Amino acid sequence: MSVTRTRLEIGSKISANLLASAAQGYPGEACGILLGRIEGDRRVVEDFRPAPNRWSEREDRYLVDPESLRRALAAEEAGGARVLGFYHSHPDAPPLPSETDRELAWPWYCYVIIRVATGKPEETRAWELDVDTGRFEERPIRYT
Amino acid sequence: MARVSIRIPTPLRPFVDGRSSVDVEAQTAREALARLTESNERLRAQLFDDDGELRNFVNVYVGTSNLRDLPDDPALEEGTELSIIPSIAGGRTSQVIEVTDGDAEAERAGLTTDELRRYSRHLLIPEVGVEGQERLKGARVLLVGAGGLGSPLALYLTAAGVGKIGIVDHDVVDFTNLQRQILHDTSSVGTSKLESARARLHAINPNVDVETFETRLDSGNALEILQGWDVVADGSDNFPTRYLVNDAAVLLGIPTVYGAIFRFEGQVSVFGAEDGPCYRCLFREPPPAELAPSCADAGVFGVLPGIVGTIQATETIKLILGQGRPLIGRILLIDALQMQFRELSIQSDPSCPVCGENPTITELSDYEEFCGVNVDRGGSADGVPEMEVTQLQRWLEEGRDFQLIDVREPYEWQICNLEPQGARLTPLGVFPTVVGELDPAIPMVVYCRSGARSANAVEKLREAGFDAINLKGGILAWAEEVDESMPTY
Repeated sequence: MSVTRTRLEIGSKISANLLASAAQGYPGEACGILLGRIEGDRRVVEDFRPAPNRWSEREDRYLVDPESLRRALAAEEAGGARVLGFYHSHPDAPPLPSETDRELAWPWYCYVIIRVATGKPEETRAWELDVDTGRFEERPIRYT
Repeated sequence: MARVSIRIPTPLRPFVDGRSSVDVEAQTAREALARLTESNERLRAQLFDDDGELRNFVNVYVGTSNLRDLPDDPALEEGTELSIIPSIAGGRTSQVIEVTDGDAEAERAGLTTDELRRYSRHLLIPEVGVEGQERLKGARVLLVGAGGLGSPLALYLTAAGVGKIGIVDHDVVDFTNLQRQILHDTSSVGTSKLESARARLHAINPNVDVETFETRLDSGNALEILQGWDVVADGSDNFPTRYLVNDAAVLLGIPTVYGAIFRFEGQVSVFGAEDGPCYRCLFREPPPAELAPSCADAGVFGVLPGIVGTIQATETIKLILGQGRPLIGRILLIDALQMQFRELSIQSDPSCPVCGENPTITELSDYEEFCGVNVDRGGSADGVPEMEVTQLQRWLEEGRDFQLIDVREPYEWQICNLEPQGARLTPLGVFPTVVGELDPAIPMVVYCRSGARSANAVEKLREAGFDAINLKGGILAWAEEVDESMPTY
């Protein structure tokens, strides 16, 4: 689908807020929407919106509240910030996509996974689904 | 009929020629979706499953209401906006998947959630990561010996998560082991080293499968025992076993992580790896037996096997991970007293009898004979007259006139001796200089720790014309049968 490899850019202040937000959901999985602009192969995160986790039956699953996403997409349609992707946390697990992540993944969107170890955010990595292989490819994150 | 527009999310736009919105004519929402996908097989497959039901990971909104929340499929008004909203979900599972990284497919054992946590400090290191940890889990390492070197080997390989660890040892935990064999403890003295090891290793990491071989490794069983393991870590304490393990491993094509210690010095290398040398390339023949005393005879600085065995564990893990630079073609020499590390470069010897171009060793032979070792360590040299400790006791009670000679080292004398019984210390090393002070007319009873050194002394004394008799079993036998209060070592 995308021939060029996308890169993610996040301002350090937003990144700090994002990490704090992700850590708040511990030990459950926190999740939300990443918003910003697209410049060529760069996706610049300018804002994020935490979304309620609607997967209530299990603590090791997340489901971004569909209404939150609907509103974000509607705002985008009206000329607002682009929905670049989503973030979620992995409590006490490495920020690597799991089989579940892969099965439920959408292409094009950037999936940012934040490892939260015993309540503290420790590592962030970004991934995008490659439609040809059906696997996640890592995307570089540049902090500005 | 109403004309409605359906908003298409970015990931699905390629299916509709890049459009962000598609207009259709339909009466209900479901009909609108059917219209959208009726001539678009690929898009239909994205939105609907084989039963024609809307996929879980897609939400359809009619205005601001989720279609799934609407009780029935209501009629649409002109100009209504439908939106296809991706359902964004995920979560942790026990199986962490492969990511595209260009590496070759490897035999992988999935990690459980518990293991992901246990090994998290490994997973953060690029050279290990999930892939490396899975390699460790799928690895099989055989340890020869559960003693000084085997202890740190077993402990660290277990902590690191090696999936299967085999241990070959036929010994029982002895009190004198505890100074260095940290796998065992005071409560396990007298029990089998393998059982002591298994208990300790499982306490550290219950995920590791420990397989025990309670036997002495010899040419009859070595190939069968070594077969099927990925790496052999040699923690043996004698030359015959080292040569046996080397030859068997080379014949089976398995690398051996070698370690050896003597007092304050240690050696580590990796033998039998592809294109690398083997033990025989370096040490074609064993040293003469008297230059190769065991720990019991020579003593060992307790921490030294800790250093050497841990380095062996490091090399084993590197071989499994395929990372770093293993000690193939190099031997690391450690002087713990000076705390200096040197390394020598060693090459495969094309004329090596076991791994060279024309190998002459194609099966295992008699290694004890090869090393000139007297297997029965407590026994005496053939043909030397000897007496039991009980007879010595009778001689003393009868007041017989004889010389009692101790040929051990001064530090051994410090631990225990027969001075109250009239013994005199003449260490074997200084024997030639003091033999002139001994009276050839009076019989002499000669003893050492277990009766082996003294047997050699008696042989030489008798050749020189002395009436010398060996004390069978040495001072250990005296401590066992005559004076149980005597400290032994």
